[in-house]
Amino acid sequence: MLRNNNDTEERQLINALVAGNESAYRIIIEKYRESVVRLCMGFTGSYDDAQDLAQEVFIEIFNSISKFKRRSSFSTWMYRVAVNKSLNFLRKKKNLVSMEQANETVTPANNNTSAEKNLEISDHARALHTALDRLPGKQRAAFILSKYDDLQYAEIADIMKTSISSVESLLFRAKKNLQQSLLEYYKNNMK
Amino acid sequence: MKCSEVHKDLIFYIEGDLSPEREKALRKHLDSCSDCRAYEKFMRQSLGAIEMKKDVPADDEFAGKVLEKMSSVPIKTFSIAPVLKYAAAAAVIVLGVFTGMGIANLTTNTSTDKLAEAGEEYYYHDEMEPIESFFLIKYDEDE
Repeated sequence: MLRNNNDTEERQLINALVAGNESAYRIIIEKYRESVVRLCMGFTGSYDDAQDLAQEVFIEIFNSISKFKRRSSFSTWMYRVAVNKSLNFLRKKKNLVSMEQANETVTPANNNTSAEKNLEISDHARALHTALDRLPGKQRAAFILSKYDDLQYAEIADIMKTSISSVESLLFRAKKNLQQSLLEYYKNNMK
Repeated sequence: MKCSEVHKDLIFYIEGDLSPEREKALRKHLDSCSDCRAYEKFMRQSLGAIEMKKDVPADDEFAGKVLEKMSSVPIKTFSIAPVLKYAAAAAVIVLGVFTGMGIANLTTNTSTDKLAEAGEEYYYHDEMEPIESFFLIKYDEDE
């Protein structure tokens, strides 16, 4: 009965979103902001970037709501959009970093800014983010959905359109790779 | 157990994913190896950074910022144009087929039954592509 009520509420809320109702936008943001920001934190490693990215995610959700076919729950679809947007963000960031690195000799000031910024981040958070940055997209997404958003394997499987055993395998490989990266970081920086 | 084995299994030990026997052997090694204990401490603190980052502070201005950004960016709204495009294409095909059949009836003695046998009646009953597939975004992974 409770589930039916929730389903009806969600259906009404989605209808209101499709109709462009501002109150519905605010309710969705209120309900899912923390989950989306947490996910974005996993991808960006910085609270400011996560905030900006989360805002972009909500804009994408609202602009694409007519594409939501209700074949999955709204939150599953929302996470799918968020993961997709986050992976795009990382791709763009990587390109930007490559361009900055290429210009390094021309603008050495960038280096100082980056070093100062890095000093603000704790060694452990930096080590973790460096290790996460080296994970392939799917492993990273599965790990972040599991560890940052505390989602069950079945939920992650729905979001990533894969099986539970594939999620288990992705998480196993993610942990193995993270361990390898963290060990390298430890040997190079902490010993 | 060797240090290299600890390096291989430590994350699974911390996550509680090891078998009881493996866990016991690893713990025993940690008790006697200060290097591996230091590494374990580093690993625990690094993975612990996740818990710290999960704490999302309240932000009363967040919704306002999203709505403000939305109003400054042109919203992609549902468009009837693709539907009209396909409807027009279907109308042209149907018109063409009927015109063709009319001309054929004037010039030949082919019966409707014979046309049906030749499969021509299915020509304009072809199923159109479902409308939703034109709008569907696929959020595929890139690995």
